[in-house]
Amino acid sequence: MRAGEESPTIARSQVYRLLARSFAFPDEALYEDVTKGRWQEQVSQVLPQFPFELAAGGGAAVAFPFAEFQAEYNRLFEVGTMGGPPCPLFGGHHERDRMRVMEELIRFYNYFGLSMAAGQLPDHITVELEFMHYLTFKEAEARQQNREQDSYQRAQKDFLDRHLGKWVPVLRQKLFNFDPPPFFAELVTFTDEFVGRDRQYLKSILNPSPF
Amino acid sequence: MFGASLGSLSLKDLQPAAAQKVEATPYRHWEDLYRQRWTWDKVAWVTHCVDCYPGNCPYRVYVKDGVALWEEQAGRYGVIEPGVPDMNPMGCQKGAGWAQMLYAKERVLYPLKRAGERGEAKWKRISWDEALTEVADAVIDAIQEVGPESIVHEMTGAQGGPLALGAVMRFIDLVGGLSMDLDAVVNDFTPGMYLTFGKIFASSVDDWFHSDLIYIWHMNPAYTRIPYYHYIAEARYKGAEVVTVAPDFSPSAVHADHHVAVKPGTDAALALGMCQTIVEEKLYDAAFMKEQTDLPLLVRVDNRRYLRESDLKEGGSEEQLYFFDANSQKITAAQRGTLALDGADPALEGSFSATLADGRPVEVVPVFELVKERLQEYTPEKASEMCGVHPDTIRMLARKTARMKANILLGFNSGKQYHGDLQERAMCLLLGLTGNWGKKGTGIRIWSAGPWPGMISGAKLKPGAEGTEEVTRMIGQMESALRAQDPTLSHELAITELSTRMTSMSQLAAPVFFWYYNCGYRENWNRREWNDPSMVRSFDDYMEEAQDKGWWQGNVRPNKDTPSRVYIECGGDTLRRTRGGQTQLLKHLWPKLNMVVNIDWRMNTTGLFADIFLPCTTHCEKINFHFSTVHTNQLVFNDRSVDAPGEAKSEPEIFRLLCRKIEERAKARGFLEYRDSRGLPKRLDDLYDRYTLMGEFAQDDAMIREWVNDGVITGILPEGTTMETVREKGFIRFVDWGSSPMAVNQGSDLLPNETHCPLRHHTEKKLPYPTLSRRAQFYIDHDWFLEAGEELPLHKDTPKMGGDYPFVLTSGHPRWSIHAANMINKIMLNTYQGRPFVFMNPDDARAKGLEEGEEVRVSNDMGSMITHVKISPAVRPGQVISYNGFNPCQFKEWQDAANVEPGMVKWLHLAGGYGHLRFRPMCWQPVPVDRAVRVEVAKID
Repeated sequence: MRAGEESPTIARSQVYRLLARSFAFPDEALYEDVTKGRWQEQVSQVLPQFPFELAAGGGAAVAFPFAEFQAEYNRLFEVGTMGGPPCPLFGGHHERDRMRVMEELIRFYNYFGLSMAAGQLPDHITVELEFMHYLTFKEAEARQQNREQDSYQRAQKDFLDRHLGKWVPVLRQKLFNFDPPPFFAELVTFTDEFVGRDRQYLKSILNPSPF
Repeated sequence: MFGASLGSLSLKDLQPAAAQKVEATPYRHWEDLYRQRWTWDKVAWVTHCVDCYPGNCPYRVYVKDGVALWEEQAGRYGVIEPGVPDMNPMGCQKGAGWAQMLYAKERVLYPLKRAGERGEAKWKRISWDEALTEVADAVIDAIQEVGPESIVHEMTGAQGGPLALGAVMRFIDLVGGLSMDLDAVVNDFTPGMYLTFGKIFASSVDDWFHSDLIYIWHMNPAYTRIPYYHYIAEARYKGAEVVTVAPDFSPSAVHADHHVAVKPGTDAALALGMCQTIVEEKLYDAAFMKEQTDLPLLVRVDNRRYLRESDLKEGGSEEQLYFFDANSQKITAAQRGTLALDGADPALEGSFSATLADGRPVEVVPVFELVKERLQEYTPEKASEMCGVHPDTIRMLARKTARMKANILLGFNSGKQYHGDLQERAMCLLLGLTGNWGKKGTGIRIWSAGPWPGMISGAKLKPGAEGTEEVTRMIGQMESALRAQDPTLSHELAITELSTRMTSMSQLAAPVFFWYYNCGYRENWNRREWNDPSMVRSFDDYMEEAQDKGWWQGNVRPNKDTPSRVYIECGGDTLRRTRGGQTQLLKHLWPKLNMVVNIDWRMNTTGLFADIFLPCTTHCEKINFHFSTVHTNQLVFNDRSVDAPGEAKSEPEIFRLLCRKIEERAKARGFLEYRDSRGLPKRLDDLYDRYTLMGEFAQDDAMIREWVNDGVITGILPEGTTMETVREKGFIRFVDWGSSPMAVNQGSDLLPNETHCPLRHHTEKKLPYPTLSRRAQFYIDHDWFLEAGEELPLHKDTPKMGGDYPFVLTSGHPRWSIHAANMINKIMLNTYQGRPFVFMNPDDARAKGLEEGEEVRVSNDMGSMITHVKISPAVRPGQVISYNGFNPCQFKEWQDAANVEPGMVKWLHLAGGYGHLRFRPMCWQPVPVDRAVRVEVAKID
């Protein structure tokens, strides 16, 4: 891809940013966006710009009050009952050894000149999605400036292969055992679909198929 | 938000840091990330400030980008005594995996408010300000409605170390609430040791190396003392013999020379059988017995009470006792200020005549005569029938004990038995007959707190050296006053007396009254068939008498008019820990409570049933020290090496904010002063200032620094020690006990180049013991003990607690967890089945038609739990073992072993008004037991 052909990358970067914000503890702004359909509009706008086919997601309306919306987030993702939430948003909890997962994530972030903000942990889905936003942004920026983009693309592929792309499908699978409200169900489904397609896309551009 | 242009980078959870490596070295593959892997942002000292005793293992933690990624044993303790191995490497698999728990799935990172019913697990995330306002209002409501004693905290040493414990206790003290005594709450008691010596104590772990004969009795160090177990092996290489005494072939039996498979709850019979052999074969150490014990003291035959000065003359002392001096052939007053006999030769045997104040003669005999009489019931053959140990083994062990330096490594198992006091007293008698304490490598040990610099800091009214000197001067003056009043008091006795008096001025309470009045245990404790038959009256009667006679007077305690309203759990988990657990507390206590606030780093069972959950920092997220113990005598430092994730705060910070908020709400509500249960005035409008000593301790670091400085001023830390030297070295060995009562009760000097062996002041300096008789006391002539036939040790069968069922349920600590702390650590879960289970004998399993791993229901009249059976020939028939610490959430129906434990207490432990039998924190009061509860085990169809 040459300069001027960066819009698919920009679209990917923007969606990673949107998803990162959407998985944070729900505030009133997100609640408003979702209930008033703004969230869904944003996704629909960007879909045609993807370098792959993907159906719209996250469109279901929120059917209960804000407090309940937050309580459901707590139940599914953050607190749960004793022993932890059933569907934690920390990737390391879906792996055998969270410490080693976190170590590698830190190494990824540090390698690209980033560090975590105070109070955050490296394997939270918002951090991982934000890192993908960063890598894709830097890729698009490098392209605009006709600089080398390979580092960013290879890192994206490895990051999805070894982290997000590995555990988001597990999260999706678990979630449906716990009666999630429609928005969270579709948010996780859409994220999984998007990450999966993006992973295939990166594989295709870095290792073009002979067929 | 969206558009075709690149726009600007928007980062929230990530931030630009150092230069990008990618600028210098293009990224090719993930392996690039691991170049120069062993480089860290920080390497710091850490230890595990929890309920891990003796613990005190110094670790190094390796930090990268604010995450604690590895922990490693430091292995830097030095040699104490030349020729004795050092303590290194210190640590175990739990410590090495501890950092995992900072990032555990059950971690809670934000304040929560219940959004559904208690236990429903519906939570609302709220701000700290909202959460503290709720708690502050509930505290004020409770004070207004019932009084401050309706604010309850059950102390545990669990998750926050001294920093947390000090924080919550100071708060409770200032508002006038109730802090329930820690050891009673966690059931770690040694009542028989206390009855005998008037104190509890322990040797340092390296002193085990000096032993010739090591009894592992009521203990399983292969599991529970992993860092110190090497001393047992090293002593054995040196020629020591190791004996395990346990109903099961415990993991510690594997490396023992002798395994003594005693029937559950019959250890007293075994020990008394050995005593009988020693007396029968005259293997005893008469000189030791005459000097150190009450065995020569005279007892009246007519009323079985000690001969007292009050018997001999009008207005005489109730505490002056006598022996018969064989040299002068006279009944002679036993000195109270010294054990030295000054040329006297107290008779151990014989019958004598004393003349009472009214001129009547009365026959008196030495305690030893009564012991001999009692031991007739414990010939090895008779003892064998009770305890199941062959008579030859009993004799063999008795002879070895008499001629060797014997050391009983006692765990907290005995005190968890209904008649554990009798078992411990029988063991102490065995050692007393053979002169086996007060010299290196001998004795009996249990846990004991070490010197503690924070003790002085907590009592200060002014910060800095001036405040410290004020407190030490005050302690010195009070000690001098006590000794002037009673010149027979040694330093140890004066400090013991002082601490007991100070307790009655504090908010420390014996939880037995809380459980009786507020938690529904009264019904269980009154059940005759679950008690010993010698409890001839109802439990209510004894409870009433104990209070009517003023035995518990002066100490704060709940009563029927003070229902609990606010329950503060900080680091513990009462709904898991308490015997009877959810069955008792949710039914009886919870409905009384208007506010349950749980302060913890993770969601636990109590948290699940709480109204407000306040997340706290843990482990290397806060500066702290390990609880000091005499096992190692080191002050071990825990640095703050990483920031807490989310919004977690340290416990002191939480209580500082709470004080501030209570002050604010009290002013807003116009409720500024009230009186506590003693009638003393309390104020709320300056709570924060008093809590922080006028803002001096507004930071955790300032508190810790003050502790270190106070440690130096009071002489328990070496001169020149500073916060900086502590931070650099990671641990500092204490140089003196200071005035911490439990440390002073060691009754030995803390020497720089010797292992610590307690009781040397008694054997070497002839200083008295803190008992009624001022000697090691086997004869307790308290009316209740006489009524129960327990004036001397004896064996009694364990009552059928829980109902008449065929199996006895025993327990112990597992290898993979400190209580419940590490139980759901993923690494630890991989070191065993990773699910709750009970051990069972193959014959029993066969009779019940059970296969390995099968699900069973363990039940009795209290309740039931569903668990898995693990079949093992190491378990004796009729016994079922369920290790302690499984979390309720690991069980089906969330019902764990606590639900079959009725939480019985022994009524005799309410006794007071008798020398050392009075409320003493961590030492004397009734405590629920859980060993040898009766259960049925049934296959689940």
